[in-house]
Amino acid sequence: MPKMGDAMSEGKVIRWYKKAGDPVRKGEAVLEIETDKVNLDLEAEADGTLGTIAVGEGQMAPVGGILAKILGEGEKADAPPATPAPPAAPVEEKPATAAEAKPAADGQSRRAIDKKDSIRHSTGEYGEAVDMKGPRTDRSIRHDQGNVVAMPQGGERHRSSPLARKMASEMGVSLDTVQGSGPRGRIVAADVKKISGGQAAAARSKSAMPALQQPAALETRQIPLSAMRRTIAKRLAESTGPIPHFYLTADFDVTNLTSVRQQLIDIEGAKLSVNDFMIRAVALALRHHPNINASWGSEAITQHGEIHIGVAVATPEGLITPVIRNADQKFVLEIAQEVRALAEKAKNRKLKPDEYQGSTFTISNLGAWGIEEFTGIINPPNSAILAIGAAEARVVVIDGQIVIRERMKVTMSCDHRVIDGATGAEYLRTLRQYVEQPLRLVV
Amino acid sequence: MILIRRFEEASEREFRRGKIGGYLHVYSGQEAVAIGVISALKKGDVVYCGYRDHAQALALGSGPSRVMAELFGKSTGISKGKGGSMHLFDAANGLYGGYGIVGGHIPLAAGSAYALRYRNSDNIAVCYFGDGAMNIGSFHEGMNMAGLWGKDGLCPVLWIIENNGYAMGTSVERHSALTDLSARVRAYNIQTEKVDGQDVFAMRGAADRIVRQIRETGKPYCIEAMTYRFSGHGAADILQPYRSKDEVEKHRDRDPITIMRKRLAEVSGLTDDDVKKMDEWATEEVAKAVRFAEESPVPDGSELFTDVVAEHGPHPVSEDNG
Amino acid sequence: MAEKSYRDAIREAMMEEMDRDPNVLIMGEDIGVYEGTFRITAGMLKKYGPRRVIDTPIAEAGMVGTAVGMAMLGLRPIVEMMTVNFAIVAADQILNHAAKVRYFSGGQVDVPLVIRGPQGAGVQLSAQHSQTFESFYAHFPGIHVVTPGTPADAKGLLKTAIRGKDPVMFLESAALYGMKGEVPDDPDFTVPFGKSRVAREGSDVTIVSFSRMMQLSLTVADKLSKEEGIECEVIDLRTLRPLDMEPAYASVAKTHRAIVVQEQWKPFGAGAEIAASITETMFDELDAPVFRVTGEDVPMPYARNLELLATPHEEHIVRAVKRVMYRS
Repeated sequence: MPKMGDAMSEGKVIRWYKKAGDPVRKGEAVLEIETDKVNLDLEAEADGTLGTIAVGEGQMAPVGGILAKILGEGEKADAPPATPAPPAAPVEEKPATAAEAKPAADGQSRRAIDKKDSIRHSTGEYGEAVDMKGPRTDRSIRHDQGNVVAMPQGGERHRSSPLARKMASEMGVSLDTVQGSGPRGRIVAADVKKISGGQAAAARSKSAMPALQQPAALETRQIPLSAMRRTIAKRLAESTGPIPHFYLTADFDVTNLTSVRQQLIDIEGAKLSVNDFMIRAVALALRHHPNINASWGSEAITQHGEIHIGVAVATPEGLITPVIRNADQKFVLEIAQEVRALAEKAKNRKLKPDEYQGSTFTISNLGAWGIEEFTGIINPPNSAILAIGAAEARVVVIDGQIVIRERMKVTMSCDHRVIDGATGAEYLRTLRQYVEQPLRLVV
Repeated sequence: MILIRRFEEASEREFRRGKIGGYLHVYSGQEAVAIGVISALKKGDVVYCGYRDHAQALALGSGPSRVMAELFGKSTGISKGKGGSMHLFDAANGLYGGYGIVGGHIPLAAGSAYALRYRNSDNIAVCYFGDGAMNIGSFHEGMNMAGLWGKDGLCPVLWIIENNGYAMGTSVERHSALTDLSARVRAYNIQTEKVDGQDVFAMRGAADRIVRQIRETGKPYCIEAMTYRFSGHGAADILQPYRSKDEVEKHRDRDPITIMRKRLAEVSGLTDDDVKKMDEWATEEVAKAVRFAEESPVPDGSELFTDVVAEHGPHPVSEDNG
Repeated sequence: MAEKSYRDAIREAMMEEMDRDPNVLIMGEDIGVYEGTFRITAGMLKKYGPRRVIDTPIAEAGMVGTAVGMAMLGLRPIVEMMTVNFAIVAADQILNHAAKVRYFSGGQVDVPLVIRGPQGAGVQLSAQHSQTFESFYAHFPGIHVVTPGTPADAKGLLKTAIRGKDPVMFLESAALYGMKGEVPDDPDFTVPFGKSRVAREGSDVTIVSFSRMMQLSLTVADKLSKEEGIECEVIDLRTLRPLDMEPAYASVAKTHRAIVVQEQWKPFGAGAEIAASITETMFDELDAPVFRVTGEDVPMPYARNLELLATPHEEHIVRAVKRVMYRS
């Protein structure tokens, strides 16, 4: 099938004037074909005998496909190919395809019909170009993925700037709770920033309320103990067994702390949690109470010269407590970065031993799970662990007035061998000063 | 000339086989115009032509394999497969390009001629264009500047009008108000001459004399080569409704290859056997070229972004093209 | 360093390069005997002679086409367009020849060609003589598009253009010709293509611009700082092709808001390209859509009052800045 136009990719055989075995002469019309532009006769390119016809009347053939061969003297017909395929024969063999097309003589004998105005002309011409697929990859997808996050499920779409959505997503704020101040109610960055303190917490607890998923069918099965689970079990049993625990609970006002946190986020644009402040507060308070920052030993109680805070991190494998070393000497922002890096490592099981060993005090925070208060089990050789609950807006009485404040409960588990009730209570009083006067934490 | 003819037959055949894309304009019938002039040139001369440019590339020595590979869009082509049939380019052999915008290359040739003289070289520029190129602005602006600079001996350029009678399908009578085409070049103070473009000896004789004159004077000169193309305008020009089969047959009587054979038989006793040997050689060369083109690799995908500009790479937007 | 006008910076760049390299020549309409309509080439004919300072006929296609031919053979022609408006007569030579030869020849030739001239509105030249063309040329691969906004850049970028290997559309702002600024004296002072700069630092809104509108943006930025306490960061793109968006992206990461200022019409203009690039790359940082400040979508009128209405002014930029800050 010869290419008769610049964009022709296939052609149709209309009719054969000759049948297999007929003698043909060079220049004699052998068959009529139809292209997307014209109908025309194909003439024999050489003298000979028409071999087996590979493409019957009404059938299509791709450009370069064999229609039939013209056999020279003594040549035998090949078996016809099952499907028309491009000829593999190199050109220097006597040209054998009925290819070279020239217009028939002028006048009525010309069979060509000009179809330039047909619809097929306008649709078929660049079909190949339309189909063409380049080696490009769609790199715009990542942008789209980023946007889905803060979209409310169902209901009306909030108009919001991309930056506002990103900030809301990072802060865990639902856009449902934000009033847009931009054109047509668009939520902009300033609107998200405005949400601080109680609003943020409220929004967070709301957004943190996941829909109940269909529980999996109950079955009896044994989960083999992982090395990590064995260690957790062993150490905690060691803890509650030999260690005489007692517990002290306090209720802190964290209204100011959440406000300071928000201001720091606005100023530094950093990721900061209440827990990051608590690490620093706990550490600073320990400086006042070396008898809390201590370990029981069979011969002596060791008071540690440095303050290293273990932070309980939940991983798919179980609990682990990476350590913020010298936490009393670090800024909140530094602590925040370090916690994130260590937590990330913990989740990927990349923690090195010196990153989870050597703590002198431990904190555990289940506030993100909406737990109001709980007790932790001491992480030996520490003498105490502080369990931190959720910061929530609660009605309290201050100076005889009923007001709504952000409150947060903490419970300290103490090793009675090292710490007495009053010692622990004094520590919590110091801690309260840091937590309720949070400027002490950032100066 | 025989090689060119066989090459063009093969390129048309490969186009029909779907091996050659885009447009394909073959030179059959006009061979003497390319050979007659280019054989009179010397190293350092530069040649510009339109998109009917296979013959000039072969005449300048680009080699049928690299030219055919270019038509096939292969990395071994003379323009690395980036130009195709219309943009054959072989600077090392003096071919400064086939150009696809009719007449657009005419000022380029005038500028190149100026550059040669500016550097006190005695090389010249040669520029082929068809009768159809003579109605576009670039022709007139380029001719005028060549005539102007020629007054100071600063424009050694040989213009070749390949007057094959048709601008695509529009005959000279239908496209030019004045059918004496070289007269229109004379209007720009450029000497002209009409030469039988089917007779390679006539072309070569005129070219020898004129090229020498241009080298000496630095003034432009124009040959109007009266010729005829046997094939359609392009490979897609199947119906050729603008001319009759009889007209084409009549001109085949003045096939430049036949004319050359007769003259050589008279002058130097060329025999039919000699011609047969030449033909076999040409056929084999072209077959080799087709094989070479078929077997050559396509350009690497990375070639897409090379040669756009020299120093800065492609526009950075393509980095993030959705 | 010495204080020089934009016009003298251009003139100096050309003469220094002509002194440095005998392959550099200049051609154009009435640049020699007449000494140039803007007198940028005054005295050059006398100094360099008619072979290197070529008065051409009024034939832009011929002028550019011949220059392409010269460049392909190793000369370094500078074509002066009396105004860039006339270059569209040579569009085929610029876009289909100069910009393409390197590619379709598979890299066999350089085309070290500079086409330069003034463009832009402001002096009642009406519809055919007041246009700006940066987006028109910047659309095409194979050519550099340069839009200097200071005398130092005019000189440094023009020298880079003349010393380069590719065709360059060097689009001067007619309105800046008289503007003065510090220009380094070092004859080898050049400014590379594809290096945008921060023309003014600020924290509130990013203004991306080039050429005269970059200068206008700086004026507005100072005013907004003084009067409203709004700090705009102004990015000067300097070359639109190659285009360096990194400083603009870095700025948007800081300000979260951007506007683009161009003299040209809004549809399909440079501003659209810049705004789209910012949106594609910095989407999550944006707190507002990227707005464009552009000329009005009409042919340039003659009457002074209408011409002023058709071109961007300070208050347009102020309005756009406030709009992206949600202060309007």
